Amino acid sequence: MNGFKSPSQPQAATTQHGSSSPLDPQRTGNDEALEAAAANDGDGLELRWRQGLSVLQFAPSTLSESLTSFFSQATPLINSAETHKSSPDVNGAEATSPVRYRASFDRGDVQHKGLRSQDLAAALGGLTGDTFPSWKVNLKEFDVEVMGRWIQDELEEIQYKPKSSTDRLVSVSSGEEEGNTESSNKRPQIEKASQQQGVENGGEFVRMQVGMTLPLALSTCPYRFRPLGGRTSLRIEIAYSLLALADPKPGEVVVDTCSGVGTIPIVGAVHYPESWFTGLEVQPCNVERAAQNAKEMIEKVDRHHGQERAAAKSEAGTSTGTVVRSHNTCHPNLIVGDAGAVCWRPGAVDLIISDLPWGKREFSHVYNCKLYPRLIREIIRLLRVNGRALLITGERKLLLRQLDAPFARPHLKLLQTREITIGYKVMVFELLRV
Amino acid sequence: MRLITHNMLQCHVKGCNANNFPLELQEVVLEQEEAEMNEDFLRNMLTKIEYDALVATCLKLDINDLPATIPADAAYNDEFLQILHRVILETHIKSGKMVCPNCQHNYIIRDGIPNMLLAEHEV
Repeated sequence: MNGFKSPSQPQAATTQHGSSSPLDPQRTGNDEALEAAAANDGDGLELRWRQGLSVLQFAPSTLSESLTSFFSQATPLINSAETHKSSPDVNGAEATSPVRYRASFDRGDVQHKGLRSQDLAAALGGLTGDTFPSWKVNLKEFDVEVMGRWIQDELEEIQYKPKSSTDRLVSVSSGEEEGNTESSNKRPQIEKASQQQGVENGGEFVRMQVGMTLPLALSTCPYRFRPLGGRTSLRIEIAYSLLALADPKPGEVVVDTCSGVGTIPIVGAVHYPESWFTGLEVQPCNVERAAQNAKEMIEKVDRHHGQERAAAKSEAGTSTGTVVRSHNTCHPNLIVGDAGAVCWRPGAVDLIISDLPWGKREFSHVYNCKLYPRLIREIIRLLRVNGRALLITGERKLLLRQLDAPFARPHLKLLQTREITIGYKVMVFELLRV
Repeated sequence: MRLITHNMLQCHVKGCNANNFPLELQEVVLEQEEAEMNEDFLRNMLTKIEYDALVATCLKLDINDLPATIPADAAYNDEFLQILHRVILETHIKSGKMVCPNCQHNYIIRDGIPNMLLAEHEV
């Protein structure tokens, strides 16, 4: 569903919005708030968020068409899942519950005095309601979450400078993000393809990204599955993205020295069966959970592949013989051990991918101050020359201090840092062993 | 725990820096589990395995299939890769213990998971 482009849409959007406001009277509350905000704005900035947001509704006709058709297919699925769960009094086909949705807005690091995030969230919600009239708002229990956020523009290829002072609605590309809302208070942190629009903000260019999460009930994907979590388990989507960033090659030895309930090694073993993953975790109870997670995940994936094979077999009408487990190295290797004193031969690791302990829910800053120096020393010892380490941490300063320390500086080179959002803004550090 | 893992582990007790590899397997219970073979994976692993240690360990476990020295054409010797695959990937150590040949520290393997934690004074 994602990644389709509509290069001709920006012009269409601006011509439509240039003349009159096409918004419905039922949302005047939001509109007033936004107008007031625009008035407060002053200085002739002419923030046109109202028009900007309504691009959602009007401009990308391909987007709304495909979204509508998608959700017309999806809604019965969601509803059937819902009726199974919650309502025992099913009165036939008409008794389907509506799709519940909520809208939220994250302003990120972008500062703007005139506009409040909740107004933007409300406007976004209003627009979603217009686009999908059968949906009902439910802030606490929702099937679909519509997310908007401001991001400081860094991608030049998307940026489009306005030609005249009045032509402020700029780039629109469209797409859709698939997340999940299986647990209602978590939000998707990584938005890949989204709808974007730009508004000039005091000379800076700020894009708005709008994404939509989809309920897990719609997914046939067996990979987003982890029966047992920990206190601060990494989301599977993030683990997957992190692995994609690391890009393990066939035959590489990949170690997660703080593997917790095994998310990274399990997801890695499933998606990169030709690499060899090991999870090292200090708490034995977490390793037991990881073993259970690995077992159930592999069973689920096997079942999924078995179904695919069965389908292929019935289509082809021929027997394909016995089913052999498709992931040869799929059992990730689990070890109870300390990340600060790893029982591994030196220089025998190609890639270290870890979500280090950080934040208030896992140990403490004081603990981390003791752990990180030992951990970095072990990373240096374990990695072969030209091996890489990808580490997620919220303790940026602490980690940077270690990398700058005399024991680490000659051996580790910082290749890149990337900011990601896991509740907070945290960093992915990519290090190269030299 | 597979034998390939055993081939990577060494003792890391403080001060135990020599003769701490390979750990000696004792009282082990083995289990064979079939897995799909992947030649590319094995070829890339060849350079990372300590072959002599692997052979020595296998002999102690009464696995006599591996040749004493690695064949010159190992990467493209199908017969050898097949044996290697069976030994390092399909042989699981379900329980037992690993003993450091130097400091005699015991590491317990339970349910296929080795416990490599050390007491505070040993780190």
